[in-house]
Amino acid sequence: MPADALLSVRNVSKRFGAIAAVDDVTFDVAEGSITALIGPNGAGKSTLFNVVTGFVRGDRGDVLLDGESVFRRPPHALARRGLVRTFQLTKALSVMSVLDNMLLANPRNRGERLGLAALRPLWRDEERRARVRARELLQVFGLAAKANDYAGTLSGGQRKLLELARALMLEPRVVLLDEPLAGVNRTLGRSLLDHIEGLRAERRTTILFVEHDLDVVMRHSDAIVVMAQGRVVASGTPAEVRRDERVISAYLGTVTTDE
Amino acid sequence: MIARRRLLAILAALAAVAVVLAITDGLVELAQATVNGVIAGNYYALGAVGLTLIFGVLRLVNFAHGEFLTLGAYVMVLFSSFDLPLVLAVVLGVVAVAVFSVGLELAVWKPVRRRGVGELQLLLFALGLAFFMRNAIAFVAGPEDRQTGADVTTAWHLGEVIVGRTELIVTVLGIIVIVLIAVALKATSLGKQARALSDSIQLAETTGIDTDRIVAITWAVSGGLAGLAGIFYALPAGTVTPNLGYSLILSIFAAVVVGGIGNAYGALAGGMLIGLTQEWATLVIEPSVKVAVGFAMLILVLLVRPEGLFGAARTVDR
Amino acid sequence: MTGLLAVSLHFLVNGDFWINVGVLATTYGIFALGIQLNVGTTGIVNFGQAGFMAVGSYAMGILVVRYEVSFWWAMLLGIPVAIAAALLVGLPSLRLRYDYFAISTLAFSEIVRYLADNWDGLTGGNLGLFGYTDTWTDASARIDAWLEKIGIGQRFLLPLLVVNLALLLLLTALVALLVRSPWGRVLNAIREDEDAARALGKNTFAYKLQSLSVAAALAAIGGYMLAINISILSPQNFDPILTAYGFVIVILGGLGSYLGVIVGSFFLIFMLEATRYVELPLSDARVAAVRFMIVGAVLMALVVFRPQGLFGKSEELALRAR
Repeated sequence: MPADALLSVRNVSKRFGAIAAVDDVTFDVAEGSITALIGPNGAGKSTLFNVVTGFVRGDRGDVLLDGESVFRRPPHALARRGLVRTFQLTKALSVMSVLDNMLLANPRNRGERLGLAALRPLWRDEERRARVRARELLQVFGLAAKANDYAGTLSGGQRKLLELARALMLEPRVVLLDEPLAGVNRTLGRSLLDHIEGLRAERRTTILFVEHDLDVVMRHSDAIVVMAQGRVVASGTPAEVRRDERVISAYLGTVTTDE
Repeated sequence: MIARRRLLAILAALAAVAVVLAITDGLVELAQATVNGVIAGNYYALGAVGLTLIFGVLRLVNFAHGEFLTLGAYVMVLFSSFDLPLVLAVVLGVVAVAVFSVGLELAVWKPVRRRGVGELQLLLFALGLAFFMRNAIAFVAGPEDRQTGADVTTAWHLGEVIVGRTELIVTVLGIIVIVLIAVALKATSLGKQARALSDSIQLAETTGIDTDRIVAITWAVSGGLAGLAGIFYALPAGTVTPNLGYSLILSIFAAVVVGGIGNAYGALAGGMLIGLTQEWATLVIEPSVKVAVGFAMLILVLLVRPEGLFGAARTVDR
Repeated sequence: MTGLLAVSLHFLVNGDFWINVGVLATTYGIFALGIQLNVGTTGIVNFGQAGFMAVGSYAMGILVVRYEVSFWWAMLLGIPVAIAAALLVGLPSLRLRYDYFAISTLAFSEIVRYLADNWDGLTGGNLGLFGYTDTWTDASARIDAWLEKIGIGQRFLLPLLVVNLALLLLLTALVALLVRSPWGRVLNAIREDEDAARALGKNTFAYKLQSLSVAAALAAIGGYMLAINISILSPQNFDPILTAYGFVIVILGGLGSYLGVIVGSFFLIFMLEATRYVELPLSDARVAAVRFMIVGAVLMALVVFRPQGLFGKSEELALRAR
């Protein structure tokens, strides 16, 4: 395993009945890098994501986070270890306020323990600190004005921003973004990408994202992993991958460009 | 539709248990218990198939299902009291519940679903319906036991094993009905459409299937089977009470869960399994507690394999 | 016409009627607090609350009657017993879909009733368990004396009402406090989207188990109040219709509203008790059947026409649409 790989996927496989959705997948994600996971529809990217983040139980293989095996561990354990994910269909909690969404993500609140919850003085300070941190993050993402509104009143794009901001409350080491630009207009998309690159630059957060917009992928990622039919077809820098014949044939010559 | 290997494994396990019981309690006891188990398994299975069909198509656990069993039995008793031939009364009972089920779908379930009522609300609705129906039957018919007028005394002896004539007839008929239903599901166009709905109701709609019609027909079949189950339970028993369905519904749930939800053959297998294990258990423990065995199996299956022995639907929030 | 339906409205000015309503409403109110916590806040569908109530009541009764434990200790010990029952049910079934979980809890509730009926030696079976009320009788007498002193005077069951009311208000406040805490925030998140909560580092299974345990404890306390009221415990007192009552209360008051539970329980119990005074030319059994039919019908109607209850906000329901 390369010394600077924060996240390592090793021979991961997952079958659904007769179909091998993920077949012996191996790749590394270097610390502090932005790595893209691409491939045609049905390549197994979502399933791999779900296996890595603990939402689907993998059949075989291993996933290492900073050398420690996290394969088949439940999602909440991974989040606490610094491996955080977002969802393609955003999971903003609509009936809670934007601020509550953020406060929920705070990993350190003793008030979340049943035994202490009724005793406000025990967790009031931590809640206050979290509130400050949350407002700062909301400010960065341009959502400060919406802090007290129900998250359900946010637009789709704002929800994407909230989901990312919320993930950052966990102070993650690696963030897995599931199609962050899906259904997002160009301006917002650019804003999201700026935030993502900002993460890498300012916090040295490692990013792994699934994306279909190849133009974006080529321009903004440090490394690319290409999957097709459950397997890794190629990996490397954008320049290397762009030239790789296997990649081109995997996509059957269709490379999407910006409209 | 059933994993052949799994079926064989279960049969092997049953055979092993049977051998042990035969050794400890005697072959005759075992045979009697087995016969009783199949008889019970029959009406459990009939009830389970109806429940599983509705779940497959609507993703609804119909908590009011037990009351359809009661309704069927009572309607049969009503017509029988008019001195109609028993067979006719049975048929009328089944038809009545089938018609009632469809009526309920058209007048209540469909409009409620169209309103966009949530899943939780539908579940609570079914619960309320159960209480309403059970007590409505008690109100109309009175809480006392009523006689079915069936022959409960004629019995046949196969060696030292006793089988009531009525019991034997309803069991054989019941199994035939279930097999017919299962075949119909697989072979007829209606059955195929119903299975398509079970997979995905949206997908079925896009392929041009008249989902409303299939849902209504499924209710009719589900209700009819439930009525039949109640009738087949009541005939050998000789009496009906308003709690008839309620006393059976949890064992029927157990049968559905054990067999695997959404699978008609599974419901048959589950029903038989629950019936057999309950009756076999009486060889070992006190008979009055045998229903608890069904519950225990329910919980065991939920622990070990929530999708049931033959089921495919996702029941675990993974 | 007048012969058919005779309704005497006298009962409305009869203090005993209101005291009875109060006692029952507070008992079922505490019972329903647990259901609200489970369904309205956490999103788990607990159809077994009657079973937890039975476990609590019987645990207390058995400790006092069979093991000669003091009444106060018995009540204290009954709570961990009910919580143990919650763990027993929850551990295997909380990871299931909400409707399978409902089946599981209902089965549990029926098993408890079944055991209570058949385990004669321990529970007294069908004939009932009695003899645990001595301590209460003394306490009640002392409360009576105090009531006399402050000028309210002695009425039957009034001491129980006073205690129940105090407990209901206290427990409602406590639960509301819990729900407004970060712990409650996690529960609300679980209700809306469990996967989101898990992705944010919350062990949702543990939280759901805690929610169920708290509900069981509340059911046990309600069970003590019921036990004192009826003096003899028998399995029929824990019929699943209680669960229907609980859900009607919770929906009436509004899913998620704890103040609503208090209002809902008084509303439901008032309706149920007032209808006892409607004189119908029917047998007792049939009258009981009508009352239960009405409860079922009310549940159905509420769920369809007014799922947000008397006080719920319809926008919240729109946001929450499953």
